[in-house]
Amino acid sequence: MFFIFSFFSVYHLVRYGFKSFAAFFMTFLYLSITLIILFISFAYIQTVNWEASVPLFGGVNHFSF
Amino acid sequence: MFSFSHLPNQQKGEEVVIFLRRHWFTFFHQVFFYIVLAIFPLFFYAIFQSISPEFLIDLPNRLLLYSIVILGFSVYYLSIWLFFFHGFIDYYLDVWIVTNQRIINIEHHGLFSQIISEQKLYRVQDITSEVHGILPTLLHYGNVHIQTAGEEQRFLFKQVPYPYKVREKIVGLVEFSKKHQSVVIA
Repeated sequence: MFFIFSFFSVYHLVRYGFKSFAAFFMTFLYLSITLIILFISFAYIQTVNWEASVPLFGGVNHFSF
Repeated sequence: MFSFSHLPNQQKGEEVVIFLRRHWFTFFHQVFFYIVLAIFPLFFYAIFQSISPEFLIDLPNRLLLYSIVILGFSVYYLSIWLFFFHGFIDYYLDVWIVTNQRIINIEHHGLFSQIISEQKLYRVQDITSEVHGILPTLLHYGNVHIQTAGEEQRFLFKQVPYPYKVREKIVGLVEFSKKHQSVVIA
């Protein structure tokens, strides 16, 4: 969702932005800060051990029928 | 700053006299709002740290909660950044252009809606500038209403800088255009 809206926003600014420095600068700034946020998120997420079992519902996470 | 390749239906001998966007302070409102939103989680974190510091220290060990917090922060800041950028586009792409022949109004509503309207200067009947409030008075911004003879509703230049000077300039252009038009007809 974020990438779809970002794509159309950047397209909109480039298409109708009168090819000015401000439009170019804001597009560059937007993409840069987006990448920084994603990089920081990834750096934190990487520390999580995704293979570890997570206790749900008060420690019951195995169901036998 | 402005490329003539984007002036819709440019006429022969047409020159841009006034090129307007909203006053910078109207965008500053939005910037301030998003800065507050960006600081809010840090403020919340500081309060949490003073109330229960051991919870924050222990947070990386709580896998599920820790993952949700990181993903939540990521989505929150990406959303703020996206809305801020969208606000900038809305501010930047809404322009009003007055040439020596006509008035052009270009407005964007959302990402997929663009409205372009124009009117010949000699069809302008009434121009009104208005400044309401303390900040608009101090910073010299306000609205300019332009009533034309056409079926089109009057043009509204929203929160533009120095509305009274814009009005005077357009009045001069309209008078010149009407004289020129009457000479052409005669």
